[in-house]
Amino acid sequence: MQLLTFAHRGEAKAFFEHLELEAIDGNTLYKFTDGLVLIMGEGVFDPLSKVSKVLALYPEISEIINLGVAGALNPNLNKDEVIQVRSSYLELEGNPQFHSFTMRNRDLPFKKEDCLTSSRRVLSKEQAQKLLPFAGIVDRELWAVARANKENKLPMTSLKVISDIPSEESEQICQVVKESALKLSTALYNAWSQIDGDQLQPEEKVSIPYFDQFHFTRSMSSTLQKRCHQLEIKFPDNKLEELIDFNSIVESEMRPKEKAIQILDEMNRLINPYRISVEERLKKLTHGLTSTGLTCSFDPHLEKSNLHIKGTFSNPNELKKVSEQLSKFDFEKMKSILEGDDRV
Amino acid sequence: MFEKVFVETAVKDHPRTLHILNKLKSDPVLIGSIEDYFGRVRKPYLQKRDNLNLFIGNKKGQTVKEAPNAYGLAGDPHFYFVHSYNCIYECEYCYLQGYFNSPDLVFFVNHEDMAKEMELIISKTPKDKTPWFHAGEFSDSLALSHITGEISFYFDFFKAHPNAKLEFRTKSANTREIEKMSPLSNVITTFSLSPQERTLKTDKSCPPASTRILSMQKLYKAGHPLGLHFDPIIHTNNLYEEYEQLIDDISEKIPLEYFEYVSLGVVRFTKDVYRQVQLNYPNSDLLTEEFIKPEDGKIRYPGSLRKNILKSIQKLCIEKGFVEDKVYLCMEE
Repeated sequence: MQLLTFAHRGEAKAFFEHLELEAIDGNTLYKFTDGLVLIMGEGVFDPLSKVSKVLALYPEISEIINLGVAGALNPNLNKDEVIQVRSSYLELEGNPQFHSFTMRNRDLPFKKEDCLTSSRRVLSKEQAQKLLPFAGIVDRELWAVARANKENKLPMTSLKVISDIPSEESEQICQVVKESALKLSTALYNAWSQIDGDQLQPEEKVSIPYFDQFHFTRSMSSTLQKRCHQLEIKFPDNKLEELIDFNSIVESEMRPKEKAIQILDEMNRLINPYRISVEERLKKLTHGLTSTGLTCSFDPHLEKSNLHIKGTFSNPNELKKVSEQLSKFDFEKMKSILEGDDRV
Repeated sequence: MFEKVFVETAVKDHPRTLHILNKLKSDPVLIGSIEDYFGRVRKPYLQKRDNLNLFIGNKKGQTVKEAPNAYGLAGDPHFYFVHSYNCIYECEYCYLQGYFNSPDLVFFVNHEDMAKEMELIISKTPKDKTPWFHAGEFSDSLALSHITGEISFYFDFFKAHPNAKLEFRTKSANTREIEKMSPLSNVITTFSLSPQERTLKTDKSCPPASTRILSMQKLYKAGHPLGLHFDPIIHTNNLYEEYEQLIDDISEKIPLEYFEYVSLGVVRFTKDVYRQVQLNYPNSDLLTEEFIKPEDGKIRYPGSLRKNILKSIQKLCIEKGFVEDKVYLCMEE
């Protein structure tokens, strides 16, 4: 479901004419067949609170589309031209704010520009010149809408129609925009109509063969998703079932969770072959030591050529066995494995 | 090339500014100071593909900085100088994507100030040491050199300071400006190269390795000293064979003993840069590499694999004919 946001009712005039809008919350929130229309008010604060509230109340919203008028900072833009916003920035009382938001990159036939949301009205050419290094257009609310969406991370699109080019005549801009409301709003409506059918594809869920035979906990599911993606990149020409023997894991006597662990291990083996091979060689090398009950470990990042040994001895015999194994241990071999002395 | 060009009022009449604007055929917008705009808002890195702006101004503060340990050939002091920010290329592993919070380019025109700082360093360096100055730490030093126009200035400066060395480091094949100069033994042009397969995958918009080798050959024929950076090396199952092919391709055009030095380094990231790679290139094969993420925040291959890669390629370089003591490991202590 789309949430269409406008600062002023005038900007939404054509939408009121073309869509069968039904009021659901006073005169600010309306619904239509495919979504909601919110009249937010101007500035940073009203839109921030209103959009936050609507997003909390309607979890079915899947996308936000901000529509409205904007002033041109870039002198190459023309009045009444529709612009697709790329990135949204904020200027508060003359200070640019670091945090920015990126809009969805849609394939639309409009010029792309960055939009600076300004806490002040930009009326003079001089002011516009100062802001131009940040963005090509200026509005009063887009950044606030994006900020309200920060936690939800819903895809956002913003289409702006150029209402004015800051100059000496800008003092009367509010009146001019009011008088041109239908024309500007119609331009926005026509622009929005072009994206109306372009619905977002739902995120593809990870699917592995015999999925219902395994039990993945929540954190294991997230690891599974990450590893599946990595395998897709690493082995673009292979299907998962060509890389992992799912049948033998499914047919084994293990519990569903153990089977899931086994799948993740197999994936890890494919993604980290070098590390696994080093670990296996070290395990083989320390077999004599571990057989006496010692625990052997290495630097987890394989940076240092150190061997850490831990053990408990209850009698002289155990100590003797351990010292025999220690004297047999091939330290140079271990060092050569950890120093990466084999060919890649 | 650039959507908008912003020029600091203080340098609007600077000959280098005028040279750049003339080359770009661009009408600039005058601004007070680059620092008031560049990086003040976070501009997405990938916006460089269709919305790259240029800032021209003076570099304030320190312009020549001490390089980290193991940056260049051991034994001599190394410095880099800040003549530009950002790059027109788009390599998936590039640390610039997490560095400036903006992909816009900045050209600094006050090269005389940089030269003054270099002069001071040269005068303080013991006579038995050679101070090295590296261009291209925050940008490609040659890719746009036909526009920036400072190459001849540095040739003149280093001709007058034969006891210091200058490195121009590039991923480009743009050697036009160097070709115009008479070779100097203390001005070395170095090329960062990766095997062709890797360049195609990761080094977006960079010229192919074969084109860069041809440019190297031109400089070799003209007698300009050359260096190589096999950095970053990214592990593959055919790493050895791929580098063998690359070295063979180079040696077909230039005798390997001609190179002043070859540096080897494996791919590594800071946490911030790695996060940017994840955001910008979610399908990059770099994200499937066997990296460790230790507490020091430096994301890299495990020590054993890193040493394995470096030793193999170092051995290969020496076997193929590079001079042994000129092959060094970059950023490995």
